[in-house]
Amino acid sequence: MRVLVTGAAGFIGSHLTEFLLGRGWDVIGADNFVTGSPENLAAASRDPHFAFVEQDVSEYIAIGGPFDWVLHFASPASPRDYLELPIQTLKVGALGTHNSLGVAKAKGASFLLASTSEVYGDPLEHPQSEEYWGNVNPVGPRGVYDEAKRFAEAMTMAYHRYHGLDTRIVRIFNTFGPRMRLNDGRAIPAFITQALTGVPLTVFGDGSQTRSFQYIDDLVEGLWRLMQARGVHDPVNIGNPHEMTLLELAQRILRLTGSSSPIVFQPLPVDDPKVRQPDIRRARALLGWSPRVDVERGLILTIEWFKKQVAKGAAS
Amino acid sequence: MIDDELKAILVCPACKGDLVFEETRIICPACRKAYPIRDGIPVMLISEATAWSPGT
Repeated sequence: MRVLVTGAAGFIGSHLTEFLLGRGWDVIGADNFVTGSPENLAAASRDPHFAFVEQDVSEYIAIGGPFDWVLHFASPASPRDYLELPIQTLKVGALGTHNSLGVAKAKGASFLLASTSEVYGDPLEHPQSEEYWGNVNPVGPRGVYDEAKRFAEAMTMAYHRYHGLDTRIVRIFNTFGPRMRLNDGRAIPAFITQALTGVPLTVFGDGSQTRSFQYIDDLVEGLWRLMQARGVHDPVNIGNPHEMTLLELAQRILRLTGSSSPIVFQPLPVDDPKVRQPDIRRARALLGWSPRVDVERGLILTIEWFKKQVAKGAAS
Repeated sequence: MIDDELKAILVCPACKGDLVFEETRIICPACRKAYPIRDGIPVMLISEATAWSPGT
């Protein structure tokens, strides 16, 4: 099998790339390194079945040859990134998705869109099932990501309905693990980096807002199963329903790192979702998938990786 | 070094034309652009391309 992975140098794209190489697939990775990093592909690059090209998939995908799959994972994905890169975020969701779908159509390949729980916005239903249409502010600062992904889903379904393309849509809930950037602004990298460097942990609001965090290996397994599933064209939530408050998360990271950093509270960002928890009944029923790595174990693995990164940063 | 498989499938992102591979750059003779190769990675970004003319 031969696959194109857009966003291959990103957090999720690089883990997915390694997983597919491990199954003997040929992987062509594309990334423009706006938020991804060549370091994430260090292991993949040693595999003779991997090739990489630096390019902006919102521009044009300059890759020919046959493909069995196109996996569209390119996009800034942390709030800090997409607030800094609002136009690029909208472009990669719209033009990048269009270009990726075009490659899939031209090659007769199947297509997987990496969508997001952000399509649910600040949800009025809890937990969020795939039937929920969401509560998104189109003109709010987060709208650039939420609406880009909503548009990407609409475009993917249009290619499925109009062109008969074999498509999948995964709505990825908060995911964590090694290769998240220390400064990407998300809660887990921020808390771990702060705990390891002995500075205060910054919790937004009163810390009572909830998130559900899944470990990267569970996500990749879910993606793999979704790719194998025939006829599943509607979106599928992949996430860990284990919900916790951000304050609980901060306290847990302090305990696991043995850090004595204090917790400080800062104003809540605009349109920050108050609750977020996946309803994963569809993934269970259609894919036989449910998360296996508990948050504690995932955090321990992630903290180990962050320790090395912090040490590298201190040495350089 | 760019592997042969990748050479076979890359096209110019600007004009979709065939490319000529050199040691440190990739030439599109059709629209006269040169794309850099950095750390073995073909940088197929139109914004990174430089003007190229035959003989340079």
